[in-house]
Amino acid sequence: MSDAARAQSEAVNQQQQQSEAEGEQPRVEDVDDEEEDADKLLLYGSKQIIRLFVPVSICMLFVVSIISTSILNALIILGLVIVMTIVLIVLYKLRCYKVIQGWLYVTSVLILFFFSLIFFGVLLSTLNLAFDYITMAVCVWNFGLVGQVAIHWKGPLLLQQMYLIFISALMALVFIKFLPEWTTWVLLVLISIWDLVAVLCPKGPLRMLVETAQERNESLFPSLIYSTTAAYMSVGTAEQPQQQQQQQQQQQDGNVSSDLDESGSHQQQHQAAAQVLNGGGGDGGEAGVSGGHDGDGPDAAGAGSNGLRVRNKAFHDESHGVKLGLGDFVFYSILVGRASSAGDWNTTLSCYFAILIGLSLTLLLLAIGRRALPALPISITFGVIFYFLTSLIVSPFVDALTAQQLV
Amino acid sequence: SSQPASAAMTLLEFFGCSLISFSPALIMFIFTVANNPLKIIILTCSAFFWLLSLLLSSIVWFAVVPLRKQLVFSMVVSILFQEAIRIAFYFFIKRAEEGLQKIALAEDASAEETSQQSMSDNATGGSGGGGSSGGGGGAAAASSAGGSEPLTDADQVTLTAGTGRPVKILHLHSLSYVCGLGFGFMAGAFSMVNLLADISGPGSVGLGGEHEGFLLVSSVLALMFVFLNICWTVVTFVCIEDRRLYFLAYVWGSHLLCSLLTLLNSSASPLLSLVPIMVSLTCALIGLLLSLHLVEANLAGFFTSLVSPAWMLRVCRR
Repeated sequence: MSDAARAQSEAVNQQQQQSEAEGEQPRVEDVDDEEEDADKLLLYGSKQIIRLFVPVSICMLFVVSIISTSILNALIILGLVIVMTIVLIVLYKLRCYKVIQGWLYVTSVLILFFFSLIFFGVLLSTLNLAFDYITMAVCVWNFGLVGQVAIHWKGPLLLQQMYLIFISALMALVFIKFLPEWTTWVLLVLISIWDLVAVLCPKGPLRMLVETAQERNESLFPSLIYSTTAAYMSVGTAEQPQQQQQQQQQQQDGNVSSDLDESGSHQQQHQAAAQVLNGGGGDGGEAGVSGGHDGDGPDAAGAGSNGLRVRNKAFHDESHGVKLGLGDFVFYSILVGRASSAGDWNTTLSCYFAILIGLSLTLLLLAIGRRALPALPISITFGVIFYFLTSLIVSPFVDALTAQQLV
Repeated sequence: SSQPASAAMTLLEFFGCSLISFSPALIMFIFTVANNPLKIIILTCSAFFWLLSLLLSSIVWFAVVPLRKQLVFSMVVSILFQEAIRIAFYFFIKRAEEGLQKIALAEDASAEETSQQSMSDNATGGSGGGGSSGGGGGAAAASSAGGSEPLTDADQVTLTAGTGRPVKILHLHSLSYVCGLGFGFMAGAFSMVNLLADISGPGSVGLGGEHEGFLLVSSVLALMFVFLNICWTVVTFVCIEDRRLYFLAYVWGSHLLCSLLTLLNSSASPLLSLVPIMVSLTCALIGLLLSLHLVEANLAGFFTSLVSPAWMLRVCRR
């Protein structure tokens, strides 16, 4: 309104100038009236505007103060993730395989023993069961040790996969328990953007990781990735494994994932065993975890393996598989877990299907693109959109229908 | 104490109602869909599409504020959207087949693996073996069994791989059955899941003061709608494929009829709810016969296969 008033007064001035320039008599009274109107407009207009400023500012301040803490939290976590990833990449470039291996061992020990202990304790107290410390110690010791062996060394594929799933679920539970709600959503969005950037940009850390691994002709990070098939080659001669290795590495163009493991050194050590063990280790999520819940939990998942890889041509039938980083497991579970903690099963169902569809789309793109792809962005986007849409719009509708038993 | 007893009672009700609603769908999934990865993906896609239709109809419900209490309006809108999405899924599947064909050709040009061959074998084997897939079973019974399908069938998508072996994706009839299963499962799930979650709390008969048959009626209706969705989807897909569009009248008519009859469900008496249940059952049976007729299945063979084990069928075929 003030702009219009200003324009009007400018027009009036221009008219005055024009009429003066043309030597006509300016009609003073009309101009005065118009000026008065313009002034009134300005006054009332600005009053109205100021009256609007205040409530809008209050509203925005309210929202921002809620969101800003969550944005700050999420940025802190994302920062930790980025730092851990960069540390991992530096270590890999400097060929400090032992350091990386030790780091991964420590984190998996922490998860498998201490977090599991806490988890079982909480589970028992929920179920109201009594359990003595001695039995608990024996159980957790066995559980953790078998997990270590299955993940980092040899073991049945099913066992390894079960342990990887257990670890991812535990990490997701830790996140859901210790992160406030809005922080979770902002974190999910930021992590998927980071995943997109890190895997696809030419200077992205994960892409550099992949290229370095290719230069050195090593397979990538087998221990932090969930693989659908064992690359458990039966032991042939010493040449066979190397041939297989080389063939597979040639065929893995630009393949993913974050946390590189010292699979290189692994294979040098286990040449006779020919372990192109993919799911060799499970600590994708927890690569950065150095114990403790709050701050360090995130490192793990972030520095952890995000990404997908496919092996289409395979020397052996069994290694025809797809690999998904454990970090992806963790973040999908966080999304669905957060959706279910809202209490409504419709929301959980729709988030679950949205994530599945996102994963199928990503796999489809993988089959078309034949290169490493971030697994998070599409699924997380679908999941978040469907969460908000379902919880706000679909659930009331369905509840209204179900209350009347209408189908 | 009484706590375990009441927990057992509500758990009984929980399992009972969930099995009433979902066990046929689960069995159909296990025997016809679970061994075929492509079918599982199609199932997920169709469930997602049904979710989209629900989303659209709830947006309309949300937007039209004055009519929010008049659920008839939103139900009709929802039915329209569901049917529209069904038809849209048909065209989506058609486009996806072309896309899959391109992908398969591209892959076959470079890879020697023909895992799709085994998938198609599983598809025909799986749908031929289990008798509960009307369309698929009929088609398999009609054509010769085994991996090499006759190339004259217009609905089949055959690809010639680099090695010269024909690779088949999926027959339209089994696709439509799977899609119907997905739609039905999602429809049932969305109407039942919150009820089931509420049931498993302490004590549950008559959640909000309704009659004691409330849960039973809801579960049976969900069950009916699973079957109905399968029949509707098969009829729709085959109709559009063969351009015999007048059978769509059955689909839309029976959908409107069955859904609007559920308005008779009231909190007063459970007997009134018998009407929508019986009518849905009749529509489902009519739909089953219609879909079997449309896919040109051998009716006698279909019903025999429902009751005889797979080995007997193989013996009979020889």
